[in-house]
Amino acid sequence: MIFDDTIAAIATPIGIGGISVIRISGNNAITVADKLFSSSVSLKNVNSHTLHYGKLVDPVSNEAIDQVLISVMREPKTYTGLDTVEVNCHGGILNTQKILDLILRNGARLAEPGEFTKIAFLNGKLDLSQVEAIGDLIHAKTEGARRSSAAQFMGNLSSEIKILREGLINLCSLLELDLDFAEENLLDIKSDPVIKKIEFVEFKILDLLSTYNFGQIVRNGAKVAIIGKPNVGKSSLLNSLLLRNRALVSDIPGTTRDYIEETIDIDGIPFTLIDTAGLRHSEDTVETAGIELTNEILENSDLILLMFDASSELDGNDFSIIKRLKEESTKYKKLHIVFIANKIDRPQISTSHLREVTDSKIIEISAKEKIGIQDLKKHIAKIFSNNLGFNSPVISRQRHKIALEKSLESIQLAKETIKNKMSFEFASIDVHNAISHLGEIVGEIKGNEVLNNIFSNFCIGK
Amino acid sequence: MILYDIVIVGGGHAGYEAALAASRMGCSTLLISMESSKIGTLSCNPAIGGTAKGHLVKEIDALGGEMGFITDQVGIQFRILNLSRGPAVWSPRAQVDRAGYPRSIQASLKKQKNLEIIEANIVELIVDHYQIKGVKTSGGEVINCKAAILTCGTFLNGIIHIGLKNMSAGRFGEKPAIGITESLVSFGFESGRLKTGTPPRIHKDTIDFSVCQPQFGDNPPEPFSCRTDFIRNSQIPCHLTYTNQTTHDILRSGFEQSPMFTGRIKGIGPRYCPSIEDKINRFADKERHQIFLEPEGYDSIEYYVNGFSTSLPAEIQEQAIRTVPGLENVKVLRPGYAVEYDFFPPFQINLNMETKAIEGLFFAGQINGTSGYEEAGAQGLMAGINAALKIKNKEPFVLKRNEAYIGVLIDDLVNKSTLEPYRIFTSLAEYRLLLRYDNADLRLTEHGYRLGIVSDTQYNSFLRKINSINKVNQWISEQTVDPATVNSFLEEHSSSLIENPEPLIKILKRPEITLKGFVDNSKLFTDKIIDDLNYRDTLREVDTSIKYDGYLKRQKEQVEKFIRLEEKKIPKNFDYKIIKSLSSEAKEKLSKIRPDNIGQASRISGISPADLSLLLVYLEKGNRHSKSYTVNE
Repeated sequence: MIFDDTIAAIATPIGIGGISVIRISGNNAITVADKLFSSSVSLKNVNSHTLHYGKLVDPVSNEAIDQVLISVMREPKTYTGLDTVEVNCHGGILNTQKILDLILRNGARLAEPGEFTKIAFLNGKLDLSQVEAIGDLIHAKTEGARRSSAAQFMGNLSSEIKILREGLINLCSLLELDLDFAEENLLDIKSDPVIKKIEFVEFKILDLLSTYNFGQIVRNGAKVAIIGKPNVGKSSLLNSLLLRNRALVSDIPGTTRDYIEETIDIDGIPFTLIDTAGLRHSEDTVETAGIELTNEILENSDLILLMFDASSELDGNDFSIIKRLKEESTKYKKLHIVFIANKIDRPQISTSHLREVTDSKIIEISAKEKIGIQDLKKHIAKIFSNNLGFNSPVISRQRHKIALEKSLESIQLAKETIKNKMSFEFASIDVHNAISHLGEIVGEIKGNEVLNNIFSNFCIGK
Repeated sequence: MILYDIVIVGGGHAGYEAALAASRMGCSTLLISMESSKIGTLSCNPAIGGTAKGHLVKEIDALGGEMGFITDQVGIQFRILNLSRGPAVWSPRAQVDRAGYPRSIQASLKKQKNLEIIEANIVELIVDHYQIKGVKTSGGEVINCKAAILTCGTFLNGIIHIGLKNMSAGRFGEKPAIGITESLVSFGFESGRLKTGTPPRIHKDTIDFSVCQPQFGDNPPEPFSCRTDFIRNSQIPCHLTYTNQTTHDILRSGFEQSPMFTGRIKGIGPRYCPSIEDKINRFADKERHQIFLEPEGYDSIEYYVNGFSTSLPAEIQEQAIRTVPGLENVKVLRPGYAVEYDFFPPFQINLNMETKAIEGLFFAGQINGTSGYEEAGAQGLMAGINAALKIKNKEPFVLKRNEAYIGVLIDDLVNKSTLEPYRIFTSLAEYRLLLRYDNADLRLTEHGYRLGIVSDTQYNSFLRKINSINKVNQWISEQTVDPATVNSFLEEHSSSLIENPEPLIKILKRPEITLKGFVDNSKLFTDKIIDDLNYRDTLREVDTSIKYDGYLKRQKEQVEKFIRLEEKKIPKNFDYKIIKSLSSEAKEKLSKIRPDNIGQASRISGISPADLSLLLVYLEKGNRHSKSYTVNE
């Protein structure tokens, strides 16, 4: 049975590094480690949460394998809730694998992907949304992603969902009261206040759902396309944002021949910058600059940095891009566009003309001289953070989004039913459905499909 | 030596249903009562049914039980409650003749084959190797049996309280049952104490009905039983009046002599049926409380003061009641009182009503912590059926929550146990849209017939109804209506007119259109189909299933989810202690209740979602092992 097993796995990424960590957890974790550990102390006698230096020796061949630091953590205050030992050995694929093999030959079995976390969950150390958050925490690319998943790990999405659930449970009680005690004329429950209560929860759910985009962006990063006519300074902007020379810059249009993709962190949000310049030929005609703004870019971008040269007149290229964006703007509502007037280090010719062309704020920069880059970053970050803090509950998982959408659909059905003057017992079934969908997020699971899903997608060695 | 198949101790509503079911299933059955003339007595109000309770009565009837059939014979007023709400919460209720009810029950019992009745006080159970062997009377005589059903009502160490006076009694003027609790406790059972109350009875001729609001029965009255063609009795109205501030002041003056407020009563009372002193104490700002004056029969001089249950001293009761409009000069025939009695928290029984500790011993009714005739009758019927199945070595008969209110009731008792007297509510039935009172026969009669308690006549009429429903549904689905024939009717009902021919079923789905209205106003329905439509409640069944189709479908989806969890079995004798991480409360509860499956486990109070997830993962994981060496990140 699972809790009788002692499991082990390499906890650090595979590859060459200074050190690797192998984690062992289970009732025999300390015994297994002690068998291999040669030092003046026996791990069996040491205090919990202490670190020990010694050699790792193969008990069969008596060969010393490595010098190691071993930490001993006794239950229950460990990640899994069971005795846990972590072996800090020298890194390297072969060495680490050899030590793991030794551990596996001496009483531990190899942990399944995510098994440490599964045991932590089974030991009541974590709830379901916390388990998911750990996955995100480990894979977090930026500070924002880290803080957001850490907040979820600390239970802040759970508590928000619990409040909504309680609201619905309270609502249900009202409906039931009306049905079971109708004859006693105790209460006269009108439908208007009931609808108000439903709408309150509906509004809250919509609110949570609206964070999904931000959540996605924090988790996966926003895709940013830098668009503009040739030689407007796209590669210079890329370099300024990256704070290094990634793209080859010259005054000759069409210098960039590669498709460039780079990730930067602005205020905790990961942005993937795409410089599309490489797709262009220097003999491009006026029209092609607009055509270049392909559907592919429109579809795959969250943000377009639209660059203009402030030091020269707007030309046909510029207008063809603006025209195309205007045409497509209804189709891509989620797409944000930032107008940038570049080259403000030179005499400005077209900035005022640009203001006539758009109502949007125009960010004035000099990519080459690195003027206004901080303002631009701030502006970009603000667009996506949408005034949401990383500490407020944010939906970043599709599973959560689907569950919220289902519960939204259910309470909307209930609202419709009540508006149609149907008896409350009909609304009640949909409110119950909404409650159970919300329950799915925090791990009140009807059936273990959800659970299986999570654990099979959760391939980290914690 | 005489060996009965089944012995039933107690002749209340659980007792007679158990006795009739067991004997109808061919078991030699003995019903033991302390006073056989009291068998079938209505200890509290002279009414059967009510919200959700009416559903239970219909289900008992659909399964071949007696309660609904007798009610039809002795009912003096019939009403379907909650008609202003939806069909799932409509519930039949009847006022009955208090003297007539037990008389009719006793007549049914006397006619029953395989059934004997004796008068005795049972004081002890005879148990051998955790198996029931018999019961012992106060005279020392042992009655041997293969199975025993205890249906002792409020009699186990019963104490009646009126003010600060109290006396040992199971019912007013009747001895309590002493010895059975002690015998059960000696076998390791856990007992508890509950309390219930009853209002004063007053003299009919001293009531001024002219100032009360009459409440009449339905016309025509709808019978409870499939075996009743129509109600023959004429109907008597109930009357409605209210308490006032003076009433409340007088009652308050008696609080220091209240056995409730002074802590003399230790048992826990029902929150849904509080005494009048409780009501004015807890809801002090409420200016008045409703009181129903219920007649006790055609010839009875007594009226029952529903809503005025009390255990205050008799003088206070009388003074207070005389401040109520219409009752100024009333003569109190018997004061209200509270009764305390022993019960056995029902986690100690299985879903087949058999106790977990002693094989062949079944509990039904108030001994399991319920209150109400209907709850008792339903359990008695199920205990009778299951005791019979047990000695025939057959699989138990358990109804699921999606099949019957009876299933909800018993599942709740076993899994949630209870600390206060339990009564059924429609809100306890999560699949109630499917559990309407008028489809109880469609849900259950097949079971009753298979078990051998539903008669051929009842079964044949059930088959006919099914046939009618199918025929009508089929017929309706084939009909198209054109604007010329239907628009005037639609206009009359402020329903939008149609421009082109439309399927009839589409029109019938409109909330403002009823099938009945349509039938009455349209020549569309031929005589042949009208015959089927009018067969018993075919029309209502068809109308409901068309009108609420969308909701019924959603409810059925919920049922499918529910069934999936019910099918995830937990091995018998599973040792919960090996899952270390289960909360200690979960371990204790699961070990005590021993659910058959995950669904059942999920309904045990105190079992958290985390506990369930643990259990699920654990059961599924069991003997899975990792096969290949893969490196974790």
